[in-house]
Amino acid sequence: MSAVEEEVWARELVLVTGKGGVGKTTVAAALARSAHAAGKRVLVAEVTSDTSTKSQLLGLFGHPDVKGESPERIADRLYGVRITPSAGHRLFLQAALKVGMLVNAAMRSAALNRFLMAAPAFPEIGTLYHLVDLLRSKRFDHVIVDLPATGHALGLASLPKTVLSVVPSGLIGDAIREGLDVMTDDARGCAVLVTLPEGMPVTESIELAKGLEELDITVRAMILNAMPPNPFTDDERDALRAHLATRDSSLLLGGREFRRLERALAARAQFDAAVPAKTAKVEIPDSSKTAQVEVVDEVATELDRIRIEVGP
Amino acid sequence: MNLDQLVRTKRIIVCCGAGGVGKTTTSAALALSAAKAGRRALVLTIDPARRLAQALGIPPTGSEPVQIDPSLLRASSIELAPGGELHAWMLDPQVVLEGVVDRFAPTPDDAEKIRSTRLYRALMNVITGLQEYTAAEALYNFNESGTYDLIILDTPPSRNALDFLDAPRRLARFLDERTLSIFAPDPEKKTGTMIRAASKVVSTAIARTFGESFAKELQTFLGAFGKLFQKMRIHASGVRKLLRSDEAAFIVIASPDEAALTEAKYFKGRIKDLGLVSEGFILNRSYASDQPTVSPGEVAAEGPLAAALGKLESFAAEERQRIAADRVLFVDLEKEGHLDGGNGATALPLLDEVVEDLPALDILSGHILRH
Repeated sequence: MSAVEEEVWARELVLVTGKGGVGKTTVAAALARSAHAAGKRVLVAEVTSDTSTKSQLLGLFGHPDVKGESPERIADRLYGVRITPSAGHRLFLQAALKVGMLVNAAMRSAALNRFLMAAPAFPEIGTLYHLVDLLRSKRFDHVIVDLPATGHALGLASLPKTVLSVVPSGLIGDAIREGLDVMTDDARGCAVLVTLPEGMPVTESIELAKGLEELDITVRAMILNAMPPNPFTDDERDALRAHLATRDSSLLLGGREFRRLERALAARAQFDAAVPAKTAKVEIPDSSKTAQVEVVDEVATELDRIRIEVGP
Repeated sequence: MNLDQLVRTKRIIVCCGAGGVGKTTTSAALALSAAKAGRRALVLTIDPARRLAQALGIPPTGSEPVQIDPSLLRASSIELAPGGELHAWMLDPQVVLEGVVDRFAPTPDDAEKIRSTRLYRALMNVITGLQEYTAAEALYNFNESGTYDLIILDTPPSRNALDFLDAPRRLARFLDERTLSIFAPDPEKKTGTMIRAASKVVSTAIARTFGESFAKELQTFLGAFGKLFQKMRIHASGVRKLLRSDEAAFIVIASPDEAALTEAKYFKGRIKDLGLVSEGFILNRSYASDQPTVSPGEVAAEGPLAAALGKLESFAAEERQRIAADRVLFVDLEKEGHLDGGNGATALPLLDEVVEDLPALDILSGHILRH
């Protein structure tokens, strides 16, 4: 059997993750756009606990006001959703209590809501349940999730195992095991990691990749986002670096952007050396566009070019 | 906004903002500034940058705050005014929760009972949900201890980071006796028919959803936590009172990008919703206050440097554009920052190096104390 070439998004569940401010949402939107353009049924999902504010992700598709706890149509075959704890809580109460009236009464109960939102881990369990419910519906070829930028970057990804250690049985246990199965099955789920060409973000993304692998979640691609262009030869860079080290050169316009380029080149070298062989390395050039929607188009075009070799 | 005055007079400064705007380094620079001004300052950070911790010579997941070695500061030519101390804690939520249990459990046996439940062990693993509780708890304790003149709190890097501000209130709600009695009815206490009926519905729902064994464990856990909760409740209102007082200031940090103004307004709105006043905005890593004046074409050069300077023109054009854009953004932020009782905005520059060591923090501090 020969190796197969696949697109970056070619898994049932694609978890897009990374620290805040690295362009995670843009990449998630671009992956969805790319998969949709290839004729797939795509659900693009944002994880949030606050549906009172506008959705940045769905805004990139022109639907910032989508409440969307259940999938809403963006275009033919393309849907958007906001994965929320409360939707998950409602769904599992529905499954547990069966009787609609009881569910409504329970969800209206201030005490229950307080408990579900305030008890540590319960909001996350709700989020996970909502995600599993969407996967179970089988309405989509690809569910692309923009994970929240949490301090503990593994956040949601590390949750299933913890929850299962406490709740091995029952509705929740079953659903979470199902979600974990999809996440850890190389043929069904994967993570795509986004980072920037700067020292600390690269170091942190490499650690995050290790953490995900320890959880048996395959890191399918690592994306180095917003790489600035390098028009200089090595000699020219040396000369410019020497000049900038002299006195008064701090007033030189363009000096700061040049230093940014230097840092980015160093970070890229670190990134190239550290990304494991089985993870696809993807470099996205810095966009000159200012409108986010246009940036998404550019990134989608870049991602369209990438093929990941799998097998034999 | 006068950062100099804030670090000299406030007792608590909370730094909020979206992920990736440089909250941690700014918080550290504010604390260093206070120490340089002669105060005992603590920077309390969640999700610390490891290299920053390294630079400060402290462990990233220590169990308690660590004073930054004055000789380390002197080695970077940083002079603290008499009385000035810089402390940092890279906060570990697990350690704080352990402390809460130890402090408040009526007996060591009770503490052990709480710790032995699977639920507690799971809580320890789910860091995300704990951060907010932890931050509020740590803030209260350090303030009570009186060990520091100023505590700078670096909030978690997410859009929901302000959950921390709501944590005392959520905690209070969670600890509300009526809520608790439904989930963990006290067998020795007489409760009304309504509560008993509600309690039954809820336990049935929980048992069906999570399985019988978990439901039982949940009740044991909440029962054991009951006494602990009563003391924690006092803290919940204590934190709230503290954050509402004049001694606390909330600063929203933004970085110059398309979403900056929207994000800054969002955080300010959240602060207002919580009945608090935001002091103002920091436009971080911006070119707004920069004055580069020499164009690459004006530099006399030959050889590779001449060629390089030629190519640098496009970089210079980009920089000019950014300086202009950052200035416009800063004016907008300043205007917005003056609304609702705030004090405008301050711009901090983008340094030529990544801020992950003491000398770089000191440069930032120079910009803070100068204002």
